[in-house]
Amino acid sequence: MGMMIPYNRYGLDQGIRPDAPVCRTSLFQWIHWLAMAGLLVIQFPSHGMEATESENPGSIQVLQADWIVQPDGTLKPDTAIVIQGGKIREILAAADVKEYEVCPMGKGTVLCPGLIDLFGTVGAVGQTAEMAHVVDPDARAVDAIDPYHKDLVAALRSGITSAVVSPAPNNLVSGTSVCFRTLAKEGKLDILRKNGPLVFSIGESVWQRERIPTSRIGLLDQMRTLVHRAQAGEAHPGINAVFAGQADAVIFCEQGQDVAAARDVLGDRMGQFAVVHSQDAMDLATKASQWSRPVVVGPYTFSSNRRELLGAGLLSKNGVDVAFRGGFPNAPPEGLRITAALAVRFGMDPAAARRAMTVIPARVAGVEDRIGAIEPGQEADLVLFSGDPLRLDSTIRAVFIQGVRTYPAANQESSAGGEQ
Amino acid sequence: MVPRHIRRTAPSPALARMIAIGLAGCCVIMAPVPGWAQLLSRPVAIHNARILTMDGDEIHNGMLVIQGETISAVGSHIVPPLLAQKVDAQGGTVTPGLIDVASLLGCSSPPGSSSGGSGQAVQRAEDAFDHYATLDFIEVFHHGVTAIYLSPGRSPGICGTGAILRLAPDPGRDPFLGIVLRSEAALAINLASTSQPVARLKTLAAVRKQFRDALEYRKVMEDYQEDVAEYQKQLKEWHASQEKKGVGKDQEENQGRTQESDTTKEGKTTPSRMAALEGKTADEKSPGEKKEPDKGKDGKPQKPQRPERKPDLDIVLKTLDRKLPVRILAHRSEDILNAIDLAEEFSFDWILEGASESHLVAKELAALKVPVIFGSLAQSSIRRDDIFRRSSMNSPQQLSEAGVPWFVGSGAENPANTRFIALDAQIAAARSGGGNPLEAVTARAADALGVGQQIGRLKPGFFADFVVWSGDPLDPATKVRRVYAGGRQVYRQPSDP
Repeated sequence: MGMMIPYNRYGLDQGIRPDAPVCRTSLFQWIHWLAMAGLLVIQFPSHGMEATESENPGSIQVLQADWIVQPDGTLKPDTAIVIQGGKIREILAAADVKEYEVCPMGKGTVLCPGLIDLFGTVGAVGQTAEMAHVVDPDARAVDAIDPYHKDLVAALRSGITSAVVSPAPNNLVSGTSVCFRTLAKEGKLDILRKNGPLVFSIGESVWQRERIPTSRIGLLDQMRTLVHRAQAGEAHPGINAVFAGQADAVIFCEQGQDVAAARDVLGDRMGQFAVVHSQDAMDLATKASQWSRPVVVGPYTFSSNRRELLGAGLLSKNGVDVAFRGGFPNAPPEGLRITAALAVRFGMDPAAARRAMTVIPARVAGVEDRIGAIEPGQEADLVLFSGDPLRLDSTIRAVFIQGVRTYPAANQESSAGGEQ
Repeated sequence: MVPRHIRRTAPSPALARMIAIGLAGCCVIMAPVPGWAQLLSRPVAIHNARILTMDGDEIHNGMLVIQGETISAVGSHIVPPLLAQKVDAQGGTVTPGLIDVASLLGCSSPPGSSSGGSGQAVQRAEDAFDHYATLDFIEVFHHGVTAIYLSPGRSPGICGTGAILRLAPDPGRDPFLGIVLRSEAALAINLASTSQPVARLKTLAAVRKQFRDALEYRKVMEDYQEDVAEYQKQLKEWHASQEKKGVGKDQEENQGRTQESDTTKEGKTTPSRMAALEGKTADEKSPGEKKEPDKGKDGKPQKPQRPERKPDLDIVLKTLDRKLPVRILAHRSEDILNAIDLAEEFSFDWILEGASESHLVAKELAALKVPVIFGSLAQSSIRRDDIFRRSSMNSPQQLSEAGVPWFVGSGAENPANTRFIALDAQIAAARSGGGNPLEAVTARAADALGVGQQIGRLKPGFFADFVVWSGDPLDPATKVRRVYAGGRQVYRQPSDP
């Protein structure tokens, strides 16, 4: 019982039980629980037993849904995922799992890698913009994240198991982004990568009245100087590393002209940057095929125009790896899936759209060896959907973090709804 | 199966050709008379389709026959009419056209947004509709939408009347699109939930005043009707008396009467009542007075003066007579409670729109059986600076649990949002834990608008407004192949063979 009250105080009041592997009871009803303290005493030992069972690195858990989302984004039927020690041990055809005790997930269900939200402000407190220095590679987005933030809970429940937050792209170099799990245990952020890709930007957001640059001309002038120094190894070590091909980076270019400017200034180094872009992705698509790094587009909303909405599909058709931004918390928590659904409506291949919420963002964040795909060796951050995650009427039946069922608690399952 | 039916029943080619030529001739002759043209227009039979009638049936390998602008038959074993133009749906799915129950489609700027205040009941949304916004129409057809409730915008207070439009063509006026199915479909009121508290109070007060004015206006009009009746009665008597009496006697009597009428004239004629309506409060008038028409000098009763018409109040009166529903846009719980009070005070039928915090007052809404129309759920967020800080992700679910019927529209904030009404319905279904999203934007939407016997289902006699999809309409990878509105093909997917 002592274990439970802190979570409630932190706002995790609706069924998130990060510590309990298989939740028998919901924290949501903790008041009810207190009233029945006697009952709790009886239940507590059973909890303890389950926890030890699952935390034991040897224990094996087998999840079997009707479909799984494969690393290539396609859906594969009747597949079981064997999880051991929080990681995916193997992937088996349903017929081959007889030796294990299987936990069936229900009809029509789809197991998907946990969704990854790129460059939103999930969990960030206040501004993520630090505008005093136009080149500020030492700023760290991780410092802005509040592990108790209620957005984390909302994100987790909508299937976003990890998020990447960057410093606001208001500087030429804004600092390093951070990749973390949306499940914060006991107020401790579960950081997957602290010094994620260094954030560069070209565009109107960088011009400020109070400091140089104040215009596109000034901006490009400064950028050229920076590139020149970095290539000579005279810039900040973090920036030098990027230009020496030893560190990854992203570049925010909101408009087509910003991409063009970036290409001019960065030359053959452009291929090392993941581009964050949306407005003119359609024009970009025809020229972007030589890029080895992904392009990040979105968030798409219902009022986005046709040109924008066509961008993701065209980029993807031209062989570019596309990742989505969902825009949460300024967009609703389904924002990432809304973006994907809209992209598919406008011609994107469904498999590419599923990759754009999972594998590709993991690659942008540089954590693809740990999360983003249902593959042996990956950590078992999984979301169970009642149907295809691209369908907005699919509901979230369960969220697993490192193989531990985190949402919803077992007795809340009925209210989770979905197709019967 | 179906093609064989066709073959079996079709007459010999020569005969068919003759009939065709004859019929075509008739069409040419009769064309100027629309009714005739419709009767003789060539029927269209959509076959090889999975038909979701939204009336409880799912027909595999079905056929849908259009005659004129309506559906004449739907089913699996239908013999297509003679000379019908056959369209192969290629195994695609046919559903009724989707309906957005709160839209701004065709309005580049919202009709009522320019001036604030209240008192624009006479503003009609349909007047702002651009019938030639062809590109916008193609966009919505691309996503299967064929009908909308056009909102009159959201200026604070009474914002005007909305209209229901079908995106059907008017054959003689190509590329004109948009046939009004119902003008004055609802009176829209915005309680300005997004404004500061004082502005919200003022708005509510202004709306209440208009309803009170309408009641007063009704009294004035009723009094006038009574006065007219009395006048007619007296006029009859007067004519009768004129016939009986001689001219001399008349004049004597008239003089006496004139004096009498002068003394009773004050304060009870209709013009003075109108003055009360305009300036003074309702208490200053004298309600129970016996009215008597004025008389001229010769004793002839004078016709009562007709009070000035108030078109705004005429429309508000329709809501009080329950001939016109009211749609109240309110997000905050306190505004919703105010709306409930307003509806109780003036007893009109109403629908709650917006409704971000409706789950807090779900019980009250359920008790009054008030339906709720959510705006686009894809727009709402739980961001921390949200003005509707208590808005809930699962409002729809909580309303369902309380027994409040709810619907989802695109929110009438941006014309472009109407495109994605099906996605809105899907989000709503996911958040409410059930329901058929497709039904929500077809049959249920039509019922919500009170036009469930004309659109929203595929049944004989209903308007032939439907969509041919390449597969499951709710799968994002599905494409719209064809759209029919008013029995005519208004959209066809470019790559469709």
